[in-house]
Amino acid sequence: MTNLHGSQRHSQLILLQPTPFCNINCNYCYLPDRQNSQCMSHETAELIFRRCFECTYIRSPFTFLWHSGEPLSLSPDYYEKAFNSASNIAKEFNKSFDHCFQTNATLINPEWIKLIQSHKVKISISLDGPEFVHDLNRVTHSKSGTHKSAMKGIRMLQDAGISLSAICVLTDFSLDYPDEIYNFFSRNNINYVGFNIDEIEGVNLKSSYSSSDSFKRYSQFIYRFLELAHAQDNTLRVREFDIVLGTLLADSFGDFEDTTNQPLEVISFDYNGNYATFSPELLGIKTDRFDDFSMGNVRDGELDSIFRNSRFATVKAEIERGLKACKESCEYWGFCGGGPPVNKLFEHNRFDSTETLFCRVHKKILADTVLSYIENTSGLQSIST
Amino acid sequence: VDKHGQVPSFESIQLRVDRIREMKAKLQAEGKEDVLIAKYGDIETDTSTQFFNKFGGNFMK
Repeated sequence: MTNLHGSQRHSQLILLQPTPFCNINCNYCYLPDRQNSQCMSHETAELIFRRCFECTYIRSPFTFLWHSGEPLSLSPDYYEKAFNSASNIAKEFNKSFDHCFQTNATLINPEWIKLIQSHKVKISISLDGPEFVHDLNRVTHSKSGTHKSAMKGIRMLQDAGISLSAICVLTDFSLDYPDEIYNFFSRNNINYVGFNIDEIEGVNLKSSYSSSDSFKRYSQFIYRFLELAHAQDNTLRVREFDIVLGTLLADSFGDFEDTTNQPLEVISFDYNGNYATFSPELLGIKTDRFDDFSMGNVRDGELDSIFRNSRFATVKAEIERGLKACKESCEYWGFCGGGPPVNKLFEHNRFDSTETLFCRVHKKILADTVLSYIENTSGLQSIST
Repeated sequence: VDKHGQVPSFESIQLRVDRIREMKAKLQAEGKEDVLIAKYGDIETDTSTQFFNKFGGNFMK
């Protein structure tokens, strides 16, 4: 089966929103409706599993990522039943998959540990570094910090031998503390970190990256973090360095592909069974031009029906025009592949646009800084002279 | 370029990329190992990274 680009790629990530509710209220969160405590019924979950397993575009192995709200705000029993359903349905289709939680870790307790261990659920936590950084933005609905409760949950996971990675949002404030953030993750045995920035998307209408000073300090942060990681033999791995260095040094430089701008690489389901592809943030968002971004509902039939959905066709065509414009105009294409459509939409109100704040900072300056680091530290001088 | 990489290079990205890739090839040919390149040079085939890379979109908040 070939996909729309004629290649053999396939979906790897199925994002499931079990509930839009989140027990905390981070200042930079893009998700709307975070106080809505409705949840995905088991009937809907089972239908999603079945549709995914029977879909020829989704091939093993793939991941059900429970996200877009705090997944652990539901009960372990909810997931016990859902995971067992998924396993039972999978047997009919001979497909392999795993489950992952993206969680703020504040609700971890022994019952969750038992569930995570028994179903081998992978864990990624949302953690912005030491308490004074984390608690600036990752707060409860009453504006209290969440670091202590997150660390309590993380300790329980680690004590149970459950490995985890972290997603760390870098705001402008974070940029002055590379050593503190590095040492925090290192000392707490969190050995794999991905950095995000506070982007303009969804209900988050502004970013702390508002000036050239932020851009300069972002570069300094990245340079220093890479310096620290390098000095310690990269025992703390960083997703962004993996991506830039892996891309730079791969045999196939120039072929970078962003899965969020390719159809069906990522499929997202909301708690009602509505689904969409491309950037997961699109699901649940409304705009004047597109109303919402639902491209079907799991009750309507097989997932392949997305190809007959007019919104999918419109969005796909506009995204492709944007990618073409990026490829023709930007020398960073090889590190970026056109970037996430959601940033283009929320910064330019169109998918067929080009540079965004996200790509200016988290693609271009990132790549520039990593290249500078290599130029300054590796054996380059002896070659170039 | 200062030690923090703050002065933007006036060279094109492609030129810088080409030079670094040339360095990688030269080091490999000489049997030398640079810790960054050794770590990242074959990352596409490093299965230990695949789990996290699945989360590697920018949407993980």
